[in-house]
Amino acid sequence: MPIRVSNGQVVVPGELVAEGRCEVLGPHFSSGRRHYAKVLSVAVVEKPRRVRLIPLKRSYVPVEGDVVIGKVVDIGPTSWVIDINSPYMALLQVSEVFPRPTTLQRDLSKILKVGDVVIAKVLSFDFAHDPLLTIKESKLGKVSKGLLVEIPPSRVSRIIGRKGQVVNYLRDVLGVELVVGRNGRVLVVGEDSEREAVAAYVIKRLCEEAYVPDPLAAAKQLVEEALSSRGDVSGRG
Amino acid sequence: MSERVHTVVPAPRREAILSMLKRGERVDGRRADEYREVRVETGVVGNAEGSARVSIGHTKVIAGVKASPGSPFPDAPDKGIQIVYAELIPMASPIFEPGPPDENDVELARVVDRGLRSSSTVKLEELALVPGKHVWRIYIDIYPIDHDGNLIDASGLAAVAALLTSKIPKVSVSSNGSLVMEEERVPLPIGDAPVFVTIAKIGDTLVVDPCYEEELVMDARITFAIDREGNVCAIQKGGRGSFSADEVVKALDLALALAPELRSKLPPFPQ
Amino acid sequence: MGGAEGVKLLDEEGRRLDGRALNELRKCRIEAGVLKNANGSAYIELGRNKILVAVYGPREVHPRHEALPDRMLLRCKYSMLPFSVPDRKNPAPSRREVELSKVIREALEPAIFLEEYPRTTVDVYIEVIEADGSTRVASITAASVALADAGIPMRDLVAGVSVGKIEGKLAIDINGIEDQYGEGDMPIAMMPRLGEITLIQADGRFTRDEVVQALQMAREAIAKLYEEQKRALKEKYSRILEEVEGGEVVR
Repeated sequence: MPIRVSNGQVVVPGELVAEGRCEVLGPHFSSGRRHYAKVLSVAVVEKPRRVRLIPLKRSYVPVEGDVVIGKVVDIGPTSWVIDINSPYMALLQVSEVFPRPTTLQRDLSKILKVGDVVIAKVLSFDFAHDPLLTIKESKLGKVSKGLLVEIPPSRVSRIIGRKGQVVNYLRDVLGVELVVGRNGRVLVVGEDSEREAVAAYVIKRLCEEAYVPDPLAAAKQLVEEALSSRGDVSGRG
Repeated sequence: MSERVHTVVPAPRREAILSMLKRGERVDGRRADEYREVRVETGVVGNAEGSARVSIGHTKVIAGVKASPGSPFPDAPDKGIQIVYAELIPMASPIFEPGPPDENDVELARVVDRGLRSSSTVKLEELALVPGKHVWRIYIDIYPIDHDGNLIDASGLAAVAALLTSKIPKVSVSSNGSLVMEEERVPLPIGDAPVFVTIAKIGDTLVVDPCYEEELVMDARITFAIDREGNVCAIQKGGRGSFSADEVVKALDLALALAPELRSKLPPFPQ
Repeated sequence: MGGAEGVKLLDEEGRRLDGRALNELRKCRIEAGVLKNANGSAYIELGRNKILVAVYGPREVHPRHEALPDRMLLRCKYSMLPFSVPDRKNPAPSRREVELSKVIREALEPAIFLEEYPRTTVDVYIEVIEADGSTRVASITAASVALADAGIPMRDLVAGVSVGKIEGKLAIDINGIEDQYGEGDMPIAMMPRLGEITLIQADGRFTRDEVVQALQMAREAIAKLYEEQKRALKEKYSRILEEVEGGEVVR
């Protein structure tokens, strides 16, 4: 038995997960032929010789190309400082806001002020320098409406679901648009504020649990519960 | 930031130190179990009750003892008070900054304090003047003045040498209960005395008495205070690394082997 | 000292004041994830000791010049609350607390992959709510659970125990009275899986053989504490897992 954990088992850092020739996915380290968990995780045995470690908690580390949702927290002479729910503060430079070079505006707060929320893409990040953001592509930019939901970054993949199943399901059944930031922030935009609230509630609830084997099924159940007791929705969180 | 100029070891140098150690060589040509030259001078400060200047290689530490009558602690009304203070002053190294004592100053003082207390170097129970009212307060102040590694051992040696040569005024109590300081001076009551031996772990190698450059690349250090009978009377591990149990015992054996040689540098016990 | 002070720490059968055998730990209970705001947290009760640990981070370093270019900064603050001891403790940090904060940090650092989040900090806040001996090692045991709970990458947990000397005999996990009237205290912390010692201190007097024996006794006690650490972390999250897998989403 090369795999030393059972499916769904919680493993602590330094705990033996597998030995010998097997595939270990997720944060781990190896010493000789032994493979150990690096962070507190749930082990999912995907194949007889393949185990995936899903971290239960994890800080968001920016990756080039990630879409993130950020909050303006400070304004410098030529850039905004953006909190992206990460140990690393991000910078949005003026040149990454306008499609064409423009005359430099004196007062950047006329464009984005402290507290504004932006959907942005990570341009670069390498640990030695703070991450740089851009909002120069379509679907990026300042957020003017909708509900912002904060979730643990380690749960983001659950909200997206396999091939976007969960996002698509919520969009279809509730008529809301979802922007899922990789940094653990989800923007819900819909015509009906009550349905926005239902979507936000379902997302929150899905993320409260450490590990959900079938997120789509759980989402369906939560939506049904919420819709059947409408008007009572806010009182249940 | 400026501190990093002095604490970041160039990568090739680090590699060189590590590969030399694998061959059993140290940066200054010593063997792993070889201590640097130790010198102890006492009576270097006329105004102190006792004092010592110690050097271990280029490391130099000065320690002074002052004594004054004071009130006892409520939980030990019949005992004198021992106060050890150490300050890593900027004179001694570019890595020391002016300012209030930080954790390094405090650790140094407390390790020395524990070694002295555990071995009853100063017999505090003999330092009550009027039990419950007046006792001697013995201040031991330690100042490294040149830092080339292993400040704990040097500080311990300086503190002990200063205490062994300290003389305090003889005190009598007058009929109305007030203290009278006499001209005559008497030695401090001394029980035992520890010597401190520090061992650094660099890679897989244990070396005694690390110099500063070795401290910069070491994983961890461990200090043993050893009394006259070869008992351990204080231990302190420091640094970001760890030791196996075998390494701790190996380090202890190195310390026990070196303790007599260090002890021979101390002044004689007062009669 | 025990005899001189006239406090008897062992009875005729060699039992300690609280009825324990020499190699017996006090009752130990750890809980993980007890605080909402902290990224990770833990609570430990070891005998009458009650200690809370909160971990914040990895997060941006303030002041910024303290940030390290190649690794994460670990900061640690051990404090005793004023009411945790019989005589009120002055809330200002004592020299003892300053030293313990340092050695506790150095006991935790060997277990952490510090290079994973350069230029950030992880802050460990330890508050002793009630103290009854061996608080530094109990703090380490709880702190490593809190670090794991915060999702910090680690090669092992760290657990600690003190070995005391009472009436000439080595005793594991000494309490306040035994610390006060005993002849020595040797706190030891280890990475339990690796058996590596990350903290060792001592005061009192020990022979060479006693040091060797103390290391062995500590290793055995630490193995037991490690089981409790794992139980605390696993129970906290397994409970949630079972509820979900049962098809029910329970609050």
